[in-house]
Amino acid sequence: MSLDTFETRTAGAPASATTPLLNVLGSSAKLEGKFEISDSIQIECEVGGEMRVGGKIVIGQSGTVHADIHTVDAVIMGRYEGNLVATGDVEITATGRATGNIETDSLVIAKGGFFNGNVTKIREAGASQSTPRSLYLLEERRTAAR
Amino acid sequence: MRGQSTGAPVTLLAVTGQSAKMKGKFEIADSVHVECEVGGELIVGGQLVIGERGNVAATVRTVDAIVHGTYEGDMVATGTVEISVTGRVTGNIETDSLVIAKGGFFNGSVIKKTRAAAGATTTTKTTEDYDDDKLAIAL
Repeated sequence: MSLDTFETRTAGAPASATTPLLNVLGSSAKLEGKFEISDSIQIECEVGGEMRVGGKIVIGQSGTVHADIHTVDAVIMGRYEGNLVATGDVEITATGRATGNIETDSLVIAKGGFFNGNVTKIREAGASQSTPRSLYLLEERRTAAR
Repeated sequence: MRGQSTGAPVTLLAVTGQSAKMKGKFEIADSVHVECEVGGELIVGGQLVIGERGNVAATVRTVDAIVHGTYEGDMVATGTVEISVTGRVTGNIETDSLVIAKGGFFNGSVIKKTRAAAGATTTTKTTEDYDDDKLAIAL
């Protein structure tokens, strides 16, 4: 592909919030490390490590995630293993397979969905949370508690 | 699971929003488009595109690379490397084909891949070869 076509493409695309910040295409991908994402992420590949998501994490049907996750909302349609802290809602769909600990106030497991592990309520664990949807506030409290 | 030969490429991972920062080891069979901060090690079996807002500080092994944003590190590309007019590259590039657009910035050395593989003394081009491009920025 020539440079010219790329320039017009990038110039034509407005830098809106919907433009993907990272887009991986192809047949397979394996990512491991630390991820800090201000908004949302959709995963259809293998991901490991540590993730901080300020919005929504969606693990697609072909996604496999082995990671400790701090997020607001989570939708698990694929495989997940690890410790998940979600200040919003967690949903395990009919195709979802989750193993580990989930800390959330709202957990939905669809019929057929699989979950093996513990669920902890955030409100009980962290006393009175004035703003339960703030991920960073929660994290600050956790580190302060140590 | 999903055939490689299917026309439209399958999105394996999509990050949306205002900002994202990731560091680690990424192995990608085909291609990746980066518009955020990425560090660590990237192994790409196809094309790596660093967008205008992209900032990559990583060791990269790829086939093709197109840099519209900022890249820092050592890159090995078996195909073509293109630094566009908005591209800023610092580091070493090992490739047989490097294109720097007028206005594009490159600071580092280029090693020809075939000669490096043949074991002959590598011809290392210094940045002086790209002074024209640097001048274009200054003007």
